[in-house]
Amino acid sequence: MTTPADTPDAADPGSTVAERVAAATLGVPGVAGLHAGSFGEVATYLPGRRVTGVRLRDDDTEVHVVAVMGTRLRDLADAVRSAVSPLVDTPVRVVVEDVVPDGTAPS
Amino acid sequence: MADTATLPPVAQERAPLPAPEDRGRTTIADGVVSRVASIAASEIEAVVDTRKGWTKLVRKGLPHAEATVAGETSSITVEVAATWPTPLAPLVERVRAHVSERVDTLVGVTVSRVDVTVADVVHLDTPPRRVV
Repeated sequence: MTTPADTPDAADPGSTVAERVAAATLGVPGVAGLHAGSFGEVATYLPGRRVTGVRLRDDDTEVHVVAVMGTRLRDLADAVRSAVSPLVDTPVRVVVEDVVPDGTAPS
Repeated sequence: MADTATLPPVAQERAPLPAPEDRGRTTIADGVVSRVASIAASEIEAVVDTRKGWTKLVRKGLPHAEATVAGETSSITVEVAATWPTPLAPLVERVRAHVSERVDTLVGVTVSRVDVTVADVVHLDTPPRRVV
């Protein structure tokens, strides 16, 4: 699913669009990780490696996340979208795939 | 629509806040409601959390939740294991209220009913070790 747009940045050849999207997503508070989807099919395939949970297409970008229990999922999705939107030109579709318990859960 | 069609594409692209359909959609997977419900049930004090490790094998992986989601409402079935000695009727009320509140706030799905089953009662205390 590597698109022609997903080429290494001239300024930082080690990082592609998919990897920058993944890093931005993981930086959002309340995101426990990226999720490969029910069948493990959501990923961007790069030479020699893959970025799980990020799918770049011509007309949209999909980010599949695992949330930490205690976050409001709609707000989390909006936060992920605002973190990812500056990196891509397409609409960002956020899919909350799973929720994991927080280690420091209240009550 | 004729007005927007005459706008140069660059001006639309750099608008501070694009139209909602251009920003993308949010999808919450089907299993998330039941996951949130089971984690919420385990947050109650007298409910035993046996969803991981070796206890999952002997304690049936309780609390276990199943949710039927239809649009913006859901009905949830939760099975819990209670610690001995807990009065079960108030416990069930607490589980029902907490699960409903957590799913409502976190997922944004209205909970129309929560069926709670106490599937097990567990002795957690190991007898104190005798020191000679």
